[in-house]
Amino acid sequence: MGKVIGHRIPLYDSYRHTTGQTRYVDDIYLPGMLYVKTAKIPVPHARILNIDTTAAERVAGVAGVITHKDVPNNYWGAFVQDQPVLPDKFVRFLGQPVVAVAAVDEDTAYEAVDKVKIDYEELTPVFDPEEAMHPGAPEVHEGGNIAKFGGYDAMMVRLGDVEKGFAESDYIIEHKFRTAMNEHAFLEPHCSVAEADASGHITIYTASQTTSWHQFLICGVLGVPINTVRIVSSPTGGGFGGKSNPATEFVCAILARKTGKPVKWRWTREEEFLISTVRSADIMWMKTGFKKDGTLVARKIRYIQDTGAYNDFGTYGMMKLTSQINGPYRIPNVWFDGYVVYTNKQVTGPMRGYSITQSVSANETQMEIIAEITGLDPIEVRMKNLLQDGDILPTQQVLEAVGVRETLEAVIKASGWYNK
Amino acid sequence: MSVQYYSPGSFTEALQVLERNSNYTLLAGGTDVVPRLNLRQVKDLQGLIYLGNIVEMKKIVEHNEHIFIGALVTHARIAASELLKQKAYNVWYASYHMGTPAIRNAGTIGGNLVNASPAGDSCVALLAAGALASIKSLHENRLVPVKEFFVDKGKTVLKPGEILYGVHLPKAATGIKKGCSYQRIGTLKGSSTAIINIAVEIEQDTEGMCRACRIGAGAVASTSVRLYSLEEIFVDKKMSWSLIEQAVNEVDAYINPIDDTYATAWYRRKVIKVLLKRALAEASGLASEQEEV
Amino acid sequence: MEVRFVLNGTEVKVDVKPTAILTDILRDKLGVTSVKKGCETGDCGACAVLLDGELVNSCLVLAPTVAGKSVTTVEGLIVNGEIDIIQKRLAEYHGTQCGYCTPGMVMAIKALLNKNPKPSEAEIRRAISGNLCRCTGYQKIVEAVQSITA
Ligand SMILES: Cc1cc2nc3c(=O)[nH]c(=O)nc-3n(C[C@H](O)[C@H](O)[C@H](O)COP(=O)(O)OP(=O)(O)OC[C@H]3O[C@@H](n4cnc5c(N)ncnc54)[C@H](O)[C@@H]3O)c2cc1C
Ligand code: FES
Ligand code: FES
Repeated sequence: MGKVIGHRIPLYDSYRHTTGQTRYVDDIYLPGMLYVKTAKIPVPHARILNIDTTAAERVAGVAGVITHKDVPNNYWGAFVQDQPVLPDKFVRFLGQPVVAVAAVDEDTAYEAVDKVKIDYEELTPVFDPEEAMHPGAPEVHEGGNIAKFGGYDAMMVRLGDVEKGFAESDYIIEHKFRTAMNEHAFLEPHCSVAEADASGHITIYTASQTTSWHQFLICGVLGVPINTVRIVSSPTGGGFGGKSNPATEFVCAILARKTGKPVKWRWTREEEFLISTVRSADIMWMKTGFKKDGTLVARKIRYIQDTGAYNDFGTYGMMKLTSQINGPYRIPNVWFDGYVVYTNKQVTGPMRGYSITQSVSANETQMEIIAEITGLDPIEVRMKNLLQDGDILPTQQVLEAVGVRETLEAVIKASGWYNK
Repeated sequence: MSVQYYSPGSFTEALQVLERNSNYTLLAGGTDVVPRLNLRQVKDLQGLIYLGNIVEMKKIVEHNEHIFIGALVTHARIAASELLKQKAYNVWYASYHMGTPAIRNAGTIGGNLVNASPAGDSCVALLAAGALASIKSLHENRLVPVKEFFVDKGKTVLKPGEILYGVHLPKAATGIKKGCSYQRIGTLKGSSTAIINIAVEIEQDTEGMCRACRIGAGAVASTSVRLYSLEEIFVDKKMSWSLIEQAVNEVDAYINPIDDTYATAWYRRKVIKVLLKRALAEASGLASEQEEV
Repeated sequence: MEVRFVLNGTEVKVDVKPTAILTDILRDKLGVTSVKKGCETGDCGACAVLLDGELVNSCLVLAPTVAGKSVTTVEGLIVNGEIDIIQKRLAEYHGTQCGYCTPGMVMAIKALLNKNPKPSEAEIRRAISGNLCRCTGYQKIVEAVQSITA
């Protein structure tokens, strides 16, 4: 231990990083490797009428062109299988790839992509989740813009009696918070390389944060047994949650099988911003009742999570955030309704503190306001309401081994809060 | 279909190549041209004429009446020039604070001018400096005031066959004290296009009367512009806080800020007031005095 | 067209399209994959190399313009198997995490120290201002450089 604590221990791979020897996925060059580019349409919402790839296929150097027809099981998703690898009927966000081309180099692939003809009927898009919830709003998916939780529109959580709690409160505050969408912006754009051997088994090199999950989903899309797909997780040039789901892998795998050649697809930075997942932009209405001494009594929350064009992890994100909606604070009476809403924007997904971070901003802002109203020190208000062993979360979980008080006390001490 | 490439070794040779191929693209530092190529925004590139080997265009020379900066002088060299810091503060400041080290090493003052971005940093500084653009072709040499150089976003008065040779920065007349200020804000400290950039130069005589005032502003129109109407407020008057207030109050009427990914027009209207005030106060020498409230 | 230049001390010859960028030539043709592609628009610095000793973003350098010049990448900093002090300290001070920005960051620091062996903290931060790092928060990188110049 003496050799570790208090010493700088270089990461095992850091010398390789500083000397440029780390091999990321984009650094893999295989003999005969093909490069992917995709055809898109310039609008965020459209009905696809016809896809014509004949001219693209004729470009010299093009080895394979695929559309939804080439994807064995086109629809995938963690909770709801609503996301196509390549769309067949509708384009639901700007930049969504419709046709993928593999060619000897990127220039040739681009040339072929320019020759793909996609006929479409532009549809009215909806970008604001509150607007999307109104009856009569443009439908992102047939059947409505609100994702279901076991048949219900909202994820509902109830603890205690919230109205009674408000009646017992000395003060009640009410705010509506909105957060912005966040892009992970890791330095390494998404990239994968797939190759198929003679027996059709596939190896995929990718910078995945969730290797087995990738394998599971890819096998599902390809309709093949799990032992025929090998995922080689390569060093990741930053993930931050954004490399939790397959992105380039499905297309590479299908093109590798179709062409018999290794296939690489590396996103441009523009594609990263347009089509990679982002942290959702959420709307949180929060009403909180508290006593003169700062004790929290009741909270009512209406939470709207903008999941973008597809559900992906959306349902899971909502379930996850409900347990932590009040942060590290005890509130005995809670009423929570959370909606996951589709819009014509890129899909949202995990990002550092998945789906919890947004509500922290709302929660802590209210704690500051409570401190102002009660005239208490902001730290006192927090100390007073900290969770402890035996407390119960809105989701009914009984807590044990809660260390938040010790942590906060250490921070107070280290920061010299009371000397400021 | 293949793109032609020339790398002339002298200015005359460059003019000759361009004369024969007026549809070819001139390439200096490439920091504006190459991103557009990489983003595949250029559809019909015929040829490239690389100017980087032309030594004559890389000079900074002090003359009696003016300072000459060759079009190919990089921002890094301007930022490192003590001469320009002393005698052309705004031009120095613009280069010192634009882009990133790698961008300043490659990007040139000529490229910045000809690129004619509404928020080009050198563009704004050169407007305030009252600079002249030295434009040459095989047939004609002309000096065009920078205030007449920009036609529209990305468009200048350059005609086919013409190359920007350099810029002339006039020096202040004797007995005239020149005050400069450059104010800029961007989304990041390094590497970002200005949300608003303003350069002000004020020439005062020994009595403290304003004899000339030039205000260059970026991102408030389709090109960087001079704000003539505001300049007139000061000319032949003694600089004062109340005149500055007047200019700040009137600026709204003379601008039409751009709305882009960096900032909204609404925000630009707010922020220009703050920067304009600072710039006028610094250039006039009033900034060091107690500000009137 | 054919282009000759010096790469890490050795003359190389490559056949290029006039619009090919130096990043692609180094990576695809010369196998120098330490030079990363993060944006191809000059914004991130992952592709930074020294061109005749000056820091440039290789994604903005068209390959033919490199003719007759000399290019240095992180590989070129290793002399007789000894890695550069910058490479050593960035590793030791946790100035690298995922590592994707690191080769460009090393070159930016090299360019700084070549000109200014005793930079202030502000000068260090200015020198790496064109190299985006999404992992470290820069502080550890600054400390690594300070450990060299202290
Ligand atoms: C990451 C990044 C950050 C940047 N930050 C800033 C910033 O903060 N402020 C700012 O103002 N700009 C910024 N820029 C833009 C750019 O760097 C500058 O405009 C630079 O000065 C362009 O010079 P260049 O030599 O690279 O031009 P090039 O790209 O070589 O050329 C630009 C244009 O000028 C033409 N041209 C070049 N030289 C001549 C000449 N002598 N005669 C006629 N035509 C010519 C070219 O044909 C082209 O149309 C940034 C760019 C990047 C990529
Ligand atoms: S890849 Fe060159 S600066 Fe980002
Ligand atoms: S270490 Fe990951 S981007 Fe810098």
